[in-house]
Amino acid sequence: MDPLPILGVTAVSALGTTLDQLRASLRAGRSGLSTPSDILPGAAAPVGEVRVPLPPLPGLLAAHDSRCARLLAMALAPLAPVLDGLRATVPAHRLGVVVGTSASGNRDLEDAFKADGAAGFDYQRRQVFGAAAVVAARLVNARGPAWTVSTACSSGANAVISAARLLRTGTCDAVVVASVDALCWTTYHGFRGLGVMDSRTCRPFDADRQGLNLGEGAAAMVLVRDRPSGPVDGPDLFLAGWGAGSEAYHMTAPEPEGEGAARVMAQAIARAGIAPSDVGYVNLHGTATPANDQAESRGMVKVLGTDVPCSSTKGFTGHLLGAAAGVEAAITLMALIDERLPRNLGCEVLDPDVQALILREDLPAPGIRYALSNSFAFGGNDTSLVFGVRR
Amino acid sequence: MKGFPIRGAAAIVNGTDSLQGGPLPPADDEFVPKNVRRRISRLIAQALRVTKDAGGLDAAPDAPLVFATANGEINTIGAILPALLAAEPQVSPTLFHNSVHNAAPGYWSILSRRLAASTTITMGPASFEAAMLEAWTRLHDGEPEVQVTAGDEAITAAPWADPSHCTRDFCGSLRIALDDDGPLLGWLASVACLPDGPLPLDVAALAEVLEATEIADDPQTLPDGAAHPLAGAAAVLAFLLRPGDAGRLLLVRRSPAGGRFVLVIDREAHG
Repeated sequence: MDPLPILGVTAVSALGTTLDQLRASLRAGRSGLSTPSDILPGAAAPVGEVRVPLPPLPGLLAAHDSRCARLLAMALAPLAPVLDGLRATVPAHRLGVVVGTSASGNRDLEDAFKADGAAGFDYQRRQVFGAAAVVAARLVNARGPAWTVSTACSSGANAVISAARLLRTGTCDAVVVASVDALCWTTYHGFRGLGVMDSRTCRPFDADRQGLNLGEGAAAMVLVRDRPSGPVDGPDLFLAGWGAGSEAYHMTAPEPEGEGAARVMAQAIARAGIAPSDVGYVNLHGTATPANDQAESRGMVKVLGTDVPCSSTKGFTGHLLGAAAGVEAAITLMALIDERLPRNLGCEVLDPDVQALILREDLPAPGIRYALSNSFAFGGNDTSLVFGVRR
Repeated sequence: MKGFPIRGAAAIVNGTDSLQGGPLPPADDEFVPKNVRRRISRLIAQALRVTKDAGGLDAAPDAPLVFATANGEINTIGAILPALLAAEPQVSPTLFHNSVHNAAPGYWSILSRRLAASTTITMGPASFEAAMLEAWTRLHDGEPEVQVTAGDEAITAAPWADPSHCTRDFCGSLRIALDDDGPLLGWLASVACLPDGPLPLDVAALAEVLEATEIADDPQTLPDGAAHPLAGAAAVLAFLLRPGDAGRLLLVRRSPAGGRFVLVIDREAHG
C-alpha cells in the first residue's frame, strides 16, 4: 500500500509524559514498574502508573472527567503545533478522530460505585466508551468522523487501522489516532483471577516468567494522506502496512503454535509491499505470560526466522491494555528515528524454548527502515502494524 | 447510486422476537453448544444468532466482522462491580473476558472457526452509523465483503447507567458484499459523515433530492416505541426485511462528537 505519513507522535506512560523521558528510561534500562501503587493501593504486584498530576479537562469537557480522559488529554496536548500547522490545508470537517480504549472511564465508575453505588455517576459522559472519542474530537477541534475502537488489548492498533482506511478512501485528509487506558480494579482482579499476573516485576521471555504487570497511559499520532510540503523536522515516518485477524481458538489463551501471530505479521509485511528481510525490528506483544510469549516467539520464527531482533517493552511500562499498541508504536517509531533498538527488560535467563532473537541489551541499528509492532487481545484479536522511516 | 449489494440481514428483539414482532424459532444449539450458552451474556448470544442468521457462515473466509455497540457488556460490568467491594475481591474469569467490547466477535470467530479480522466500533447513539462508515471504508479499500452486527442489551443490571435509554435487547446484522450474484435484499448506496452547520439541504429537502421513500431522522426508538441507542440499525433492518415494493431509506444520525452520519439504503422489491 502507499505509505501514510505520520506527522507527530506522543506517549504518556509510567516512563513519563514526553518522548524525551521515554527515550531516557529506555536507554537507561529503567523500568516504570513499581510498588507500592498510589492508583491501586494495596496491589500485590508492581504496576506502571503515571505519577504526575493529571490536569482536569477544560470548560464544558469537565462533565466527561475521568482518569482515562485526563490521560487522553495529556497525550493529545503535544500534538497542538502539528495540528495548528495542518489547519491551513485541512478543514476541521476533514480531520477525523479514532480512539482505542479497553476500559474507558471504568476506574471512575468503580470509585463511584464503592462510594455510593454510583448513584450520581454520569455514565453516558464519563464511562461509555464512545465518550473517549467525543473528548478527543473536542480537544483537537476535529469535525470529521469520530469513533472509539474497543478490541481489548489490540484496541490501539485497530484504531490505527481504522484511521488508515479513513485516509486511504479519501474520507479524511488527516486523522488523530489515540489510545488510552487508566489502571482499574476490574482488570487488576480480572487478570489475577485468570492466574496470569506476576507478583514480581514482569519478565517477558524469561524462563521464569509468571505473567504480566498492569500499566496505564495514553498515546497519540497524526496520520495524513499527503505529507505537507515545506521543511521537515527529523526523518519522514510513515505507517507502511498492517495485518489483522482472528485466532478462532479461545477467548483468553493464544493458539499455542503462534499461527495467528504469524498470519497477521505475514499479512502486514505483504501489505507494506516489503520483504521479510526488510524488517529490522519487531516490538513484540510480549505480555510475559508463559503461553503468550511462547506462541508469539513461534509466530515470529515462522515469518521472520531467528535473526530479526525483537523485544517486548512491557518490562518498562507494564501492559497498557487498550493503550499498549499506541505507546509501543511510539517506541517502535523511536527505534526507527534513533536507529537504536530497545532491550527486552526483565529477561535475565532466556526461556530455552524461545527461538526468536530477544534483545537482552540495546542494539544499534544503522540504516533500519522498517519495524513491526504486534498487539494481541482477548477473543483472539491479533494485529501487527508496520512502520517505516525515510531519511 | 448503486453502491454495495446487501446479501443478508437479520434482527432480533428481546431474544425471541423478530423485528416485526412475531416470534423467531428457537436458537441453534448446534452452533452455540449448551456449555457455551450458559457462559455468555444475552448480548453475545443474540449477536451470534443474528450474525449467523444474516448468512455469516457463508461469507468469504476473509470477510471481516464489524461489531457496533453503544454500551457493550454493560450488564457484565454491573455483575463485576459488587465483587470489587469484598475484602479479597474475586472476579470471575468468565465475566472478566466476557466484559470486553469485542467479546461477541471473539466468540463468533471461535464458534464459526473463522480467521477473518474483526473490530468493535462504539460511539453512543451513533455506534451503528459509525460502524457503517467503517464498513464503507473497508469495502472501498478492497475487502471482499463485510458483515456489520450491531447489538445492545436492555440495561438490567447497571442501575447507575440510566436504564431508560436502552430498554430492550436488540441485535441486528447485515452482510454487504462486492458481488451482486444471487438474491439481494438491497444496496448500501452511500455512507458519509457531514459536518455540523446547515446541511446543503435540510433533511426533508435532502430526502426529496435523493428520492427517498422513507426518512429516519435521528431515530431514538425501536419500531415498537422502546428507547434504544441502536434505533438507526433497527430502522435499516426493518426497512430491508419488510416484504413489499422497492424503496429508498435516508438515515440521518447526529454524532455525539458533532457532525451527522448519513446513510442511504436502497431496497429490492421482495414478497
